Amino acid sequence: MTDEKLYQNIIESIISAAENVFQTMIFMDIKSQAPFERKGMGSLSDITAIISLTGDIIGSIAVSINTDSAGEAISNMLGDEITDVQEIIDGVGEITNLVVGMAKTVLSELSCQFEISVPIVVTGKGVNIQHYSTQNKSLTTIPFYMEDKSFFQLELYLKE
Amino acid sequence: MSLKVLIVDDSMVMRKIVVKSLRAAGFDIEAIEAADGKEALKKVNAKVQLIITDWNMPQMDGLSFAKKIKEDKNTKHIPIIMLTTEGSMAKFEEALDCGVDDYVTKPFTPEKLKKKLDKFIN
Repeated sequence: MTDEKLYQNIIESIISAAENVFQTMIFMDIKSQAPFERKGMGSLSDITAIISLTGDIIGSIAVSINTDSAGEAISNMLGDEITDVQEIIDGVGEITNLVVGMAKTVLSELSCQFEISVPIVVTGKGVNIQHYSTQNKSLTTIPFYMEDKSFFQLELYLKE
Repeated sequence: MSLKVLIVDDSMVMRKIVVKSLRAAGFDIEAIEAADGKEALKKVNAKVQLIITDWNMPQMDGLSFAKKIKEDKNTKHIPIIMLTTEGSMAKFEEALDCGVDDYVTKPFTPEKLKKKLDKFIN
């Protein structure tokens, strides 16, 4: 598999996993927009969960979401209104785990094997996120929308 | 009488979802919760009727926990369901080798969980 093809498969698997997880467990229809590259490692929203990847691919995947959107998602997931910040933070970690885990399963069927870490969650917008490398490399950012509202961003860093 | 279920997951949100899913699927349960295998070993006893555990957890993961449960004569009879994002056949086989009785992949629905649990309850 060429690097370009592998990269495309990774992006498609992540998008499909995110849409599936939101539909199955959060009962929300989300849609991705075109991925873009950005420089810098600052977090894009209030809560960011990051998972490391090691194996055939090495890197990290992060989900950044603002507190209100995260609260809405976790409340939907649990069927109760959740306002406790610790619970919201924990939920963002678990959503990230579900998305990355599902993408991992799809990619393993395409002979791309890797292990994932438990999620680490950081809070604060603009906080420097420790992706696999903190060198000034590009991150691939995939924006996700619910209806016409920006809902969260998923970011991927892969070591070359 | 309530079914005593030990739910092991490092996410408190996921533990709540499992409890809700079991109740939504019609099970009358008494839930005992633990955040990882180490804490679960302190809470498990012979009266627990079912264990639902995650795989990837800090301190002690689900596989090491399952092995310890099956090595102990007081707890080896308890069915263990692995509830995890690890969905490949190789991972499934690895879990069975460690004493896990069945496997449910996340994301899941209450119906999917019920179907697996029905095999071990009654």
